[in-house]
Amino acid sequence: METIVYSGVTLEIPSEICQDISLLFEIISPDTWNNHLTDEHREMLMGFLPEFPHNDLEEKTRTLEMFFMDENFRYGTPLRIFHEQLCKGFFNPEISKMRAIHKKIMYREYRYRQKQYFHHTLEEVLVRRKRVLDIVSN
Amino acid sequence: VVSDAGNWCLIESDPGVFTDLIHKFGVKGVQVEEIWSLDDDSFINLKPVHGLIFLFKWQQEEQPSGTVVQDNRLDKIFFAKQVDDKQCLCHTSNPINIAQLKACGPTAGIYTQQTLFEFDKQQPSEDDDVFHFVGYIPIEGRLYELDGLKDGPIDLGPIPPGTDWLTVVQPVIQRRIQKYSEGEIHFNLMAIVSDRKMVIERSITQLQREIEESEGDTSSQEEELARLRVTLETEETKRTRWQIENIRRKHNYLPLIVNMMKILAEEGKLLPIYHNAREKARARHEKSKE
Repeated sequence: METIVYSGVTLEIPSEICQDISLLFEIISPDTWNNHLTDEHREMLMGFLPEFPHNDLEEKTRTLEMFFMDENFRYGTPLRIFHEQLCKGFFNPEISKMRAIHKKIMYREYRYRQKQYFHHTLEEVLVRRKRVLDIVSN
Repeated sequence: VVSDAGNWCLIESDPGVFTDLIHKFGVKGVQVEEIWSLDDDSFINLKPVHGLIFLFKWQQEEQPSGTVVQDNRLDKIFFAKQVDDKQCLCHTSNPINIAQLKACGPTAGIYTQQTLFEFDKQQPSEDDDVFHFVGYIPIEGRLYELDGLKDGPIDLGPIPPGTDWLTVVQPVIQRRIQKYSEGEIHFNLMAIVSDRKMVIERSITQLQREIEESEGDTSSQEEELARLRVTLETEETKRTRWQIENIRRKHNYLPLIVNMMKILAEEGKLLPIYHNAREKARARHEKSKE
């Protein structure tokens, strides 16, 4: 089982989904939407779609269609991105804790490299300035 | 060396702000658009693309992707080195023209006598770090990467004659996106494109003036005016569609997915649907074996 902890929701999902993405597409599908959810559910879930300034309902319906039909949104589709994150343990509390630590360490290394870079650049600028001043004073 | 951060301009990583900045440099006819995929489809509406700006939250140490240019090509390429740590800025005292601007992709801010932009005056905290920018542009048949933290422009090799430079830059960007997605580094990709709307609007104004001032027959000008108005309308429709697409793409769909699963689980439907799906997959698998 894969554990999902996300914004107050805890779920256990069979890990076989990671081997076969089609299982996910069957669960999150137009069929599920149309035949396994009530009107109240659908209305509640529609609230998780983006708000549009004009033709809100029409655009929301179109968005839902794109969402189910696996159309590209942003360097991938929402479902594929979710699948990838799920299988990498993104939603697993243990793994995400380790990931946060890893990220912090990488960030520190980055700051260190930045400092080195600026130190090096400063030296370079000072040497150049000296050269220019020498030329001027001669 | 500039130590006073007050002399620097900070800009946000937003296409509108970038467009505004470019216009304030005095460059007309271009704008910056955010792009969301590297498919040919998404470029069709934007072409011609003059340059790409890749921006990301922070940078890991990495191997240079090509050789740093140090020869006389530097006379033609404008390259600005980043000199301030906290603000991710670059320093330039050169006058800026369009060719230079194209090469000025990696600049997160430009030092100017007058402050053009003043957002975010606070120092970024540890979690709220500023972005770093890298530009990609074609110059005289070769692809260059401009990174203000490098010693010079990086030569990424030739663009074969007759090839669109976008096809050459695509794999380069793709690799970066891959890497940053894995490292959970926030990134955006923006394109510097022609602002057709502005060009058309200008022609319309000019034609209107001509018609007003002219005393003779203006039918040909009026015909042209009508044609331009249609084109302008098409551009405006395109832009509205863009806005809608941007809203759609910027949205986070995780709550939708997770809550849909939660409802199904609460209703006792998640597992039956899952088992059903597994049966289907097994049947498909059997079938493909036969």
